[in-house]
Amino acid sequence: MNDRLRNTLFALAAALLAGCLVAAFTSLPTFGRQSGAYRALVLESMEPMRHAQQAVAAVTFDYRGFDTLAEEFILFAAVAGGLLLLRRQEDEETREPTDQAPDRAGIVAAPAVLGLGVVMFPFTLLLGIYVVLHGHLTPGGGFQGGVLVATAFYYVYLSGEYGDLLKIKRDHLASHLEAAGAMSYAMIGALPLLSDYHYMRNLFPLGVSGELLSTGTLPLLNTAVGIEVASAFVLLIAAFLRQVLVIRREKKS
Amino acid sequence: MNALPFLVVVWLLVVGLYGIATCRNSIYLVSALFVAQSSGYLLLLSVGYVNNGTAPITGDIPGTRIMVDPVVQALTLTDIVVGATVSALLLALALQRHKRSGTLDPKSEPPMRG
Repeated sequence: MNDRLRNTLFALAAALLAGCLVAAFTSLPTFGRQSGAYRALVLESMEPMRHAQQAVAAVTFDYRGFDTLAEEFILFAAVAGGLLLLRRQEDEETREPTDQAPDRAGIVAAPAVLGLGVVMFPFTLLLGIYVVLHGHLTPGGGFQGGVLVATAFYYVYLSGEYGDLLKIKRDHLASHLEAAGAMSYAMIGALPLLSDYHYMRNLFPLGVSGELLSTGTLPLLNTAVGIEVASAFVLLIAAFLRQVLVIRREKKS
Repeated sequence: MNALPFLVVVWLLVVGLYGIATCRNSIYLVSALFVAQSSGYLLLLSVGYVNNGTAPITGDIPGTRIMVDPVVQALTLTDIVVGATVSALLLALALQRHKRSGTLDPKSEPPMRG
């Protein structure tokens, strides 16, 4: 199929799709006047029933917590697939990065860059942990906070200390933490089964609304997800970095 | 004016699909896929918006305020997480393919070896 035919076909199909979508959207209720039944239901029931104040977290980890379990394992599978693809392949070899020009002095990172890395690393880490732990009270949660924690390690890379990230290989703590995060979500969900309740029932004490230790399992699930997301993104950047710096194609000689 | 968010949704989806259909580089393909996917975020959020609505967090916001739909916001969160990791997987695929065949063009023959 040549390009012109392909593009003509695409233009026709896209115009048809766009027309159908516009027609479909015009029969939706007017923008800003929708009132889904679940909106009122969640907003009215979350405080009396769950002592929760953040509706998005309550929906993600309580009302549809079982969905989030599946979502967490999509993340787990995608990261596992990515790491599998970024391994050393059969016809490749690993070579520790060596100084290609030993006669020249290495590039010294500017003090401003180093300083920024040193200052930003702990603060970003702290912010990430805060966002994970307060996910059920303020905007945020395990997914958002986990990405923030991983970003803290990206500052290590940006400030030129990427050698530290290369040490993350198989059996590193991060890969165990990722598996542990995914597993503990499933385990916390399975705990109520021991006392003959259904899966993911909120068993823990609900506490006082608005306090750090409240809403039962929500903070625990947030922490599990935060640990998994943070270690998944750290593992991914380490794998991409190894791919660029360490793994070389074997010379066929 | 009321139809604007939905028109932007359609525009983002079609532009993303155009990028997927015409690009000559797998990296651009992943970016175009992300553009098409972001139309999903916008659609979900516009479906859940209520006029003068505020964030669905009852802690500091007085209970008299109207709040937007939290269900679709949670769905958008799911969508973003899945999108980010699937992009990482596709980029890893593109990287390996470039090493095998020396090309990033999705239209060229893929290297098929058992």
